[in-house]
Amino acid sequence: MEEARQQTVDEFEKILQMNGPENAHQLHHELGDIMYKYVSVERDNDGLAECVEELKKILKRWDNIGITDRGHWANQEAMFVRQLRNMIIYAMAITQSALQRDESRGAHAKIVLESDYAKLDDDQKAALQKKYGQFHFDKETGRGMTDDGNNDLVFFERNDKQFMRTTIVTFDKEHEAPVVSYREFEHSLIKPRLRNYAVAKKE
Amino acid sequence: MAEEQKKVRFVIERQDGPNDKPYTQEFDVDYRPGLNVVAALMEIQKHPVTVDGKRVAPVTWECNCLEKVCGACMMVINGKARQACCSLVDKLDQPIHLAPARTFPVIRDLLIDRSVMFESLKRIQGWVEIDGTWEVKDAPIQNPYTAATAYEISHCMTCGCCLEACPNVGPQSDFIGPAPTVQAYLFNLHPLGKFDAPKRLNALMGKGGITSCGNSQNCVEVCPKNIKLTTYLAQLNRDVNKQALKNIFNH
Amino acid sequence: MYNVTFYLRRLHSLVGLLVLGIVILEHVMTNASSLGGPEAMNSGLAMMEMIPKPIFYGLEIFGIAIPLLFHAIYGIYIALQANNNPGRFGYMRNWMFTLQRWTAWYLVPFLIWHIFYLRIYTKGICGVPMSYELLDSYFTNPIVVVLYTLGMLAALFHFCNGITTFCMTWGIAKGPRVQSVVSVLSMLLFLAFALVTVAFMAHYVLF
Repeated sequence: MEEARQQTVDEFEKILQMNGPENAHQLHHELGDIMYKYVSVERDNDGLAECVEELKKILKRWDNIGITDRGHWANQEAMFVRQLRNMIIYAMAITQSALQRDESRGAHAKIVLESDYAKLDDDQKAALQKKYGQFHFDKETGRGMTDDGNNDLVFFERNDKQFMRTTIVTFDKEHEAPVVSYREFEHSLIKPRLRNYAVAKKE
Repeated sequence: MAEEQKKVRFVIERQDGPNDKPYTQEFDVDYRPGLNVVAALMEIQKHPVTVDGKRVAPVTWECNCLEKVCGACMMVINGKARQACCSLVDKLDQPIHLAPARTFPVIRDLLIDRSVMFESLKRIQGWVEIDGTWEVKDAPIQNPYTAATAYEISHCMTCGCCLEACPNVGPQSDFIGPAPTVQAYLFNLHPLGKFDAPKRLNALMGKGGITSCGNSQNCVEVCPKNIKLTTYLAQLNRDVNKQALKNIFNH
Repeated sequence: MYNVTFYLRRLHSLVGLLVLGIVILEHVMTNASSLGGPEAMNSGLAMMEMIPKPIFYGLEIFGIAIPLLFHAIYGIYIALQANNNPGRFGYMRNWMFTLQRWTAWYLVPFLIWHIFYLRIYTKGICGVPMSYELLDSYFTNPIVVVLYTLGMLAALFHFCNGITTFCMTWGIAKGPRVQSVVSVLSMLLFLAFALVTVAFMAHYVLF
């Protein structure tokens, strides 16, 4: 217990010594900006991959934070710097998990890119064609969009076979990157169904 | 348009610790439409440099919901106790003066210790006694008009504006303040809470209770939730007086 | 004893309105009778002299002295409980709250002087009875006139505003509108009393 306490104290003291050029709140703002840009509800693999790289850079920049408040009394800045590192790591976990989850589920709606479509099997392609009708891939973004004039985005279908699993993320300290794996969970008693509040559920 | 970016001047009363002397520092923040005091304080955190070019520790302050529903960001802005999150720069006289609510102990800069309010809520028994943990099928019937009154009073977010404005709250008096006092009335209105009304009214007869209110009526003017504090204080006065008579004649 | 503060505070309120209220009303009426000339006032004072001495002294002690001392001393304690802030919060009611305390502070030395000089010294020790002529000669000194006028106005304001706060403290006027009405009526009463006061003070000075 004492060892753990000392570890935390040392961590805090190290933060108090930081004197680089970056400002933690400014970095936090930038973190928010890129997460908002690439990891909102509707996301695609190109954006997510880009975000993973940006987050790695932001994590490196965390080491360059300089704090102006070196006191031990009610030091909100030092507290925030410590929390910020964890925020960045969590952001990486979220982004990496989203990148690897090639389906749409709940608040994770993945847009089909031209590069993704090529990797789908025939059944999956047929399902998309049935749902969206004719669609094309945008020249600039590569995103699937319907041909009916509305340019609605084409999203991956839900893929229970591959992805109805709990995501487990561990942090590889050496490479400073998240590692995603999956774990099965017990779902034999309830048959998974579409979350559609517009219709009454059939038992 | 090649317009100069407008700057907003903030004059902030700071203090390094509870027993340190206050001092003032001034900061300039870039104007943007809809800027509020919390957003301005966040900008100061990103660039904690005074107008003299001195690099200082960022201002310490508290905030939570950003929507005037939690009470955490209460501070004194241009002399008035109010929530910082909804104090729009456009509506305030500049330079904008920020100060902590000194009726409470100051921890640092704009951060204050309002735990006394929660202790007061305990003193007035600010809860409803529940029978036990077994299932109760139907809730007790409530008078809908009483419920409307209770709903109004339940908006209290323990922000402390009323305590800051009240001349009877401070080191010179024991007064618990308008907010905890009126909260006693809230629980007295509840269909189950009303059974403990005598307990709460007796608590208000104690030191720092309702008799310490001198009727300055500042509280109702500053309440951000527009709770009719003085009306309920008058009602509580009625109830407490009746309870006192009962105490005398039932003794 | 149980909840001493509560009972003392409520007693302070009742004593102020009911007991000291009668005292001040009597003062206004007796002094107002000076407007009718020496005969009017002196005959009124003679009526009071006819009250048997023990009863009169009893009234003075239990009806004025003790209530006044209690109200004043406990009132000082109440005034010290407030950190007046009308500069920061300039609302009307807050100003009235502050004035209630400022008038009280003025009245403490004023009443000590008034009671000591007129009742204890002039009437008590020197044996000079109250009369129109005595007061008329007393109110020739301009400083005395000013201080006494201020004293009366302070006491009348304190009483009339006290009516308003009495209605709040006893829950008689609960809502904001009825409290406004009570406040306006009590200030009109103050205005009326103030006019009468200015009238008889002017009369003392001019005649």
